[in-house]
Parts: sequence; C-alpha cells; structure tokens
Amino acid sequence: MKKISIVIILFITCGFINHKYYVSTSLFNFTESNSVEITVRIFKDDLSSLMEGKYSNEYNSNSDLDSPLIQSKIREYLETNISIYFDNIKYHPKCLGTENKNDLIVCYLELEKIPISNIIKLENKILFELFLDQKNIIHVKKNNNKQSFILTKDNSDYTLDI
Amino acid sequence: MKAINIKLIMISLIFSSMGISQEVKENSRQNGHLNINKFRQMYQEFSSPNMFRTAAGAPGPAYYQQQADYKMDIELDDRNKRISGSETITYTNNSPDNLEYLWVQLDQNVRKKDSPSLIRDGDGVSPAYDPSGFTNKFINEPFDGGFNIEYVKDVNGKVLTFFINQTMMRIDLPEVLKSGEKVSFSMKWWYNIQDHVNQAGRSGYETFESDGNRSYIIAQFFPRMAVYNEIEGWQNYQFWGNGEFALPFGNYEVKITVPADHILDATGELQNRKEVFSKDMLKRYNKAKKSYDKPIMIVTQAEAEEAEKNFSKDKNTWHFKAQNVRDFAFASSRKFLWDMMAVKVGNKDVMAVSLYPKEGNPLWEDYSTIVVAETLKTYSSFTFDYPYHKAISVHAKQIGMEYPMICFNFGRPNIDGSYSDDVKFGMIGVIIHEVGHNFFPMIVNNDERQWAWMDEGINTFVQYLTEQKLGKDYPQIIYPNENYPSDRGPAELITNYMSVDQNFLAPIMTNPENVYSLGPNAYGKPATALNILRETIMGKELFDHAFKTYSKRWMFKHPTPEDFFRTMEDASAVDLDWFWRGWFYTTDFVDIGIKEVKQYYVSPNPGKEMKKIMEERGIPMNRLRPLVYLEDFENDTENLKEVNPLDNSKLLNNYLKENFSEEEISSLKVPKYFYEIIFDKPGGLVMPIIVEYEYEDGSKEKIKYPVQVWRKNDNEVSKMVTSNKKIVNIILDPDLETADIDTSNNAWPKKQEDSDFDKFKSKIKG
Repeated sequence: MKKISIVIILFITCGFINHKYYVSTSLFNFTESNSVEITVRIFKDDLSSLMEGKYSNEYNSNSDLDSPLIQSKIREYLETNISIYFDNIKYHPKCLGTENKNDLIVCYLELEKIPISNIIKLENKILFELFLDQKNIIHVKKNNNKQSFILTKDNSDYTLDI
Repeated sequence: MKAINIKLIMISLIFSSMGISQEVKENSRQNGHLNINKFRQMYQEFSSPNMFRTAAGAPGPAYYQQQADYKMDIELDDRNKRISGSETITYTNNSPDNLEYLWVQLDQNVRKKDSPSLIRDGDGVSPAYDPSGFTNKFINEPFDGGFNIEYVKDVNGKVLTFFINQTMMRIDLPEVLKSGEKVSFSMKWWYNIQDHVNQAGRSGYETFESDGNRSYIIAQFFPRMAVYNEIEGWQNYQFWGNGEFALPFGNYEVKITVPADHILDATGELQNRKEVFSKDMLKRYNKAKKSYDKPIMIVTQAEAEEAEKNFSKDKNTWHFKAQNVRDFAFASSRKFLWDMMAVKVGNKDVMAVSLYPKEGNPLWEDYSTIVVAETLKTYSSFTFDYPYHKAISVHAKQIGMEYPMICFNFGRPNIDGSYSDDVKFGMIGVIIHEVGHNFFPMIVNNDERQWAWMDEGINTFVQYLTEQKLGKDYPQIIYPNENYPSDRGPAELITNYMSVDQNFLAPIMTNPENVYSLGPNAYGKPATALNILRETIMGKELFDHAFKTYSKRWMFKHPTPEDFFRTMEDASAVDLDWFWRGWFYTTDFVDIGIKEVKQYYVSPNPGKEMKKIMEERGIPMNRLRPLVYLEDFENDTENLKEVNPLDNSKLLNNYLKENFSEEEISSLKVPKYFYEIIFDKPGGLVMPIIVEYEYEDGSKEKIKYPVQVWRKNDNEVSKMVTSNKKIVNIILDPDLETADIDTSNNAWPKKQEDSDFDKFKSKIKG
C-alpha cells in the first residue's frame, strides 16, 4: 500500500488532473433466462492504484493491467467484493473478463441459472478500502423496471423489491 | 361560399382549441414567466462591454495591465535541500487608480505547518494504512515549508512594513503609488524544498536512491506580484492548491547559483553560455541550432552517469534574462541528460529542448524533444507564431506542470527500460499539454485562480488537435493505432461524465476550488465543447479564424471568459449565446431522440383526420373545395400506399397539366413518400438535429437541422420529410458528434442494440 496515499494527494495538487472524485458504476441486468449480467465500469487509474496497493510485489503503476496474472487478481477481487442475495443465500458472480475503454476498465460478471426472487439484496464493496469517499453507483434492470442507488463504505449493500 | 378556405378552418381550429384548453384550466391558471428561451442573449450574465473590454471581445480603449520586473539572485543549497534568494521588484502602476499598498503572492506558504489548506477537506478514518502512510500522517513532524521572509526594504534600504495573510503578503507603501508611476522594493527569503515524489506539489526535488542524487524542478519559488485589474482590484483569492495562478507580465534578470557539476535550464535566454558550457557542449549546441529533423545530445547519458558519481563542492552561477514573461522557473541536477533541436516557427528558429535523468530513457531520448517541436508548430498554426526562443520539457516522476518556456512532465519506464502504451501516450500527451500551456495561459494570460477552464480547457482542445496532427506526421510513433489515441476531445468521450449524478456536477463556469472533478470539468468538457463547436456547430474555417482572432487579440494580455465568448461570435457572425449558456453555465446534457415516425400518402379523398376536423367544425364535407389530401399510412383503406401521387389525385394531375407543358411534367420530381418525424429532447441542451436517412436502395442522406429548430418548443419538434425512395432507417447523430448521452433512442426502427455485456460475451466465445 505504499503509494496509495500519494496518489490521492496527487490528484488534488497536480496541474494535470484526471479525476478527483471516486466513482464506479455497475449495471445489474436480470434476464428472463434467470441469469444476472453485471457490467462494472471502473476508472483505470483507480483499479491501477488498487492493484498496486494489494499486490505491490507483482504490480506497479507502470505494469500492464492486461497481464494474465493481474487479470486473475482482478477477477478474484471482483468476485469476492460483488455479491447478490436471494432469500438470504449469498451468490458470487463469475467474472468473464475485462475490457479497456479509454480511461475506463469495463468488467463483465455473470451469475447463471439461479432462482431469482423479487426481494434482492445487492452488495458492491469495490474500492471502499482504497478511497474513503468512493461511491459505487448501482443500476438495476429487471423486466422493464429500472432502479438506481448509491453504495458507500458505510452502506455497502441495498435490498430492493423489484 | 361553397369552397371554404382551408386556412380559415385551420385558424378557427387553433382558436377553438385554445378556447377549450382555457376552459379546462380555468381554476388552475398558469403563472407567467421571465424570458426562459434557451436562445435569449446573455445580457444578464455578462458584465462587459465597458471602456476596458469591448462588446466585440477585444481590449477596449481604456484597457490597461500592470507590469512587474524582477532582478533576482538565487542560491540552491543541495546539501540542505533549501533555496534562498534576494530580489528587487519594480512595479509599474498602469491603472488609472492610486494604490496604497501592494499584494505579493507567497505560494510556498500553502505548505506551512499551520496552513489552513492542509485541513480544508473533510476526511475520516480509513480502515487500513500502509506503514509509511501511517507514519507520515500520525507520527512524523509535518513538513516545515513556506517562505521565511528576512526583510522587505525600499530602494534606499529603508525597512517596509508588511503583513502576511496565508499565501499573500501586503506591503504598505509609505507614499501612495500614483497612476502611471513605478515603485521598487527588495526582499530576502528562503524556504525548505519539499520532496515532490512523496509530498506531492507542483515543484520540489526527487531523490534517486541508487546514486543519492537529487533532481530539482523549482517553481513558485519567489514572492511574486499579484494581479491588479479593473475586475478584481487586487486579485485576493488565496492559493488553496487547485486554482492556479494570476500573474502580471514583466522582464526578468535572474542569476542562479548551483553546485558546479549541475546542468541547469530555465525561463529566459542564457547570458553566460561560454562560462557554464564545456567546449564540447558549445560545439554540440551550435550543431543543434541547425538540426531541424532530430535532436542533438548536448549532455550524453555516459556524461551524466559520470557526473552522478561526484558531488562537487564548487559553485556555478547561471545567468538568464527573459522579456515579457509572467513567471520564472528552472530545473537543475547533475543527473540531467540534455538534448535540443531547432524548429522553424514562421521565419524564426526556436529551440526544442529536453532535460531528463537516465531513468527516463529510452522513452525520453526517443520522443520528448520531437514532441516539443511538433507542439510548437501545431499550436502556432492555430494561434500565433510562438514568440519565445525556446521551449523545455523536463522529466519529473509524476508531475505535469507548466511555466513560461519550461515545463515538468511525467512518464517513466520500468527499471529495465520497458514501458506500457499507457505510459508512452501518457508522456506524449502531457508534454503536448504542458508545452501547449506556453500559449494558454503563459501568453494568452487568463486568471487561472478564477477560471481554470480558460487555460486548461482551451489548451486541452489544442492538445487534441496536436495529438491528431502528430499521429498523421509520425505514424510510426502511434503504430499500430491509425489515429493518436486521445482521451479528451472527441464528443463521445465526455458522455460518461455528463451523465453522472447531478449532485456531482458543477457548471464549467465555477471556481476550480469548488468543482467535484476538476479533470473532466475544467479540461475534458470545455475541450469537447470547443471541438463540437469547431466540427459540428461552426465548421472549421469559421471556428479557426475566430479562435486565432481571440489568441492574437489577447496575446500578452489578460482576457476574461466574456472576452473569449464575445470574440468567437464577433469574428464568425455565429450567435453562440445558447451554446455558452448551455455548455458553460449549466450542467445540462445532450439527449435527443426519435419519438415517432408516421408515413403518409396522397389520397383523392379526405382521410380520417380531415373528416374529424370537419366533423368537429360541423361543416359538411361537400362544402370543401377540391384539395390534395395526405392520409396517415396506418389508416389506409383503399390500398393507395405505393401508387404515384399523380395517379392518386386527379386534382393535382390536372393542376400540373394546366400549368406545365408535357415536357416539363416529365422532368418534374414528384415525391412518392411522405413522412412526419417527431424528435423529442429529454436532455436540457439544445443542439442541431443531425439525421441520416437510409433508403430502400441502400443510399443514405445526412441532413442537419439547425439548432434553431428548438427555439419555440424545447421538448419536441416534428419535421415533414418527402422523398422518391422509401426510408428504411433513420439514425440520429450517426457519427456521435454531439455528445448525446443516451443513444438508445437515436434509431428508427428501434434497434435492439446488443448490450456491452452481450457483445463481450460473444467476443470471448469467439
């Protein structure tokens, strides 16, 4: 975790700034075939800082986020920190992979063939250990219904009836 | 009265329907409102024109600016990581006002132990800390930064009283400085330089553990005059960290003393090259002055590696003079490699220069100076010929920061010399950006403390143009990309930011200390807005002429946002008040959609809708004079859909025969297909409607309805489209040039777009 605090300060004081507030967005799409498709968008430099902090032996800010080793770490991290509950049973989605889109990394996770109920609890804890004011914006799509809410470090899960 | 004029019916229709709606709403009469039309002029928002700044956006007859000239002796103490200096400032009061006191900026004070800017942000307990972070935050003594002012004296050596408020120092003048007069005073000061790698900041030193050397990038290092003008009086917004600088122009003479084995470069022309250069360096320098295609090494890597081993106790003084600059900065280290090449700008030669420790190689030797040269050429073509004699790019580990003629840039390879594309394009992008800052704000000198977008946004826009030009001029640098992978500029790249939760958005016209996300707010969004203006709203020719006019008008002067807005309109004859208000003064976004498409055909008989109108009026159908009717496709009962309108309407046919010769009729283009398209606008921003119609035979036609289509209805507008060929597809904004944040409503018939998720899944399945 050596450089993390530095990275945070840097965003505040540099003449060439990328982004200063910490946000990710996740779309949970509940399909008719009883699957959940999850699309998570994270800023590349946030994910880079996270990998640097967690796996400083294998990764620094100059390393390649696409290397097989780091990809497996990213998958493991996402699968652990994103979960869905139906009837109080916790399910972890499977990460299919990631894609680079400009300054974003788009991550795809899926949970196949599960008993989807109307009462759903969603949890998304990504980046909370890194940035105090990290906000994970969640969009939920089920049939034709849409709902959105924001998860923070203190409220990292949300139960909805949809 | 057999034939009733159709217009009459329409008029009565309008009147009676108004009557109905009034009846219904009698008990809930709507309130009136001010002019909320999105196309109203910006008289309320603007404070100019006046005698200082004209309505055209140019400096007015009473425009003035102050001047601050500096003479300084600086010494860098490498052992103690300290810098000290004595300086004499000559301040010329060109304003019509008499000044009782002067304000001097002490930016280093932002790092004083008791600086309020260190505690201005909310924070909380983090669940985990790394040991060094924990030690820095809770155990170590805070860094002892900030200016130590030893004295302030007048020209006769008499002590002047002063008062320090945070990052600003008021100097009390014994006599009022009258309009048109000058005053000189001197100061002596020192401060501890901070480690910019571990303590951040825009300048400082980096220690290289492997050889124990430091490289220094030194800026905001001397007390500098604040700006006095007709807008703010004395610029009195403290330096809190985000809002950068407002500085008057002036002439500098600076002598910098450093260890004798240091290599140094700075703002200004070097006066004693023969004293500080070796013979070899002089020879190579003369060669570099004639090398227009590749950089020449002035100090090689082997020489720099040799110099790293000695820590000279001797000193060397480097002497610089700079005319008409707003600031001064330098870089110094015995680790520096140094290369230069010449660039033709207009009919003048400018030197493109790079300074970097060997840790920057191979990246820096390969690209830095070439990128500096390309930046000077491209920026000059869009603004004015670069007026200074050189531009230096210095490698600092993680800083991107600009000063006149010199800037500090990140981009460092791994220890083994390898680097990712992100690092390479990050480095090229930041060099273009920081060298580009020479134009905005070093020469076109806006008040950065108030308006970050005026230099960051405008500069990021020209950075985008330069990146694309670089990709064309040096395809081998960007290979295998076809175009330079710019991350700011293209419209579609700003849609993510413009669609985030409104609670995290601020208008561009917001002080940089108060926005949530300075990067997209002050860099990305204004750069994109200007790119859209250039490519979609105004066209390149009109935009480029107006943009050049602004740059030339305000070269070596201090423009305000209004001066920019006004000049862009004045020089192009394009009214853009709607654009400035929407994009710069609000957090609105673009979302235009296709709500409905209806097809019509020509019919000999009145259709359902016509019948309904007549019924409502209580007028028998036989009272209508002969008319050409259009009937909704959905209501087709007579199978007239695909037939030539002339066969469907004898009336029309006869009319043509009576009025045209047979030859003329055969060459007439009679449309067969009639459509009504309703566009809606869920987004608050008005933009031109760009539509691509695709016909049955595969041909396409693009039409741009001017933004003014929204001037009478801000929610939806319908358009009638006629053609000889059947329309099979309609796409809004087909080239993604308007920053429409939701494209799911941009197509007719509605396409079931594959989601990103589906696309990715089918991609990994191969």
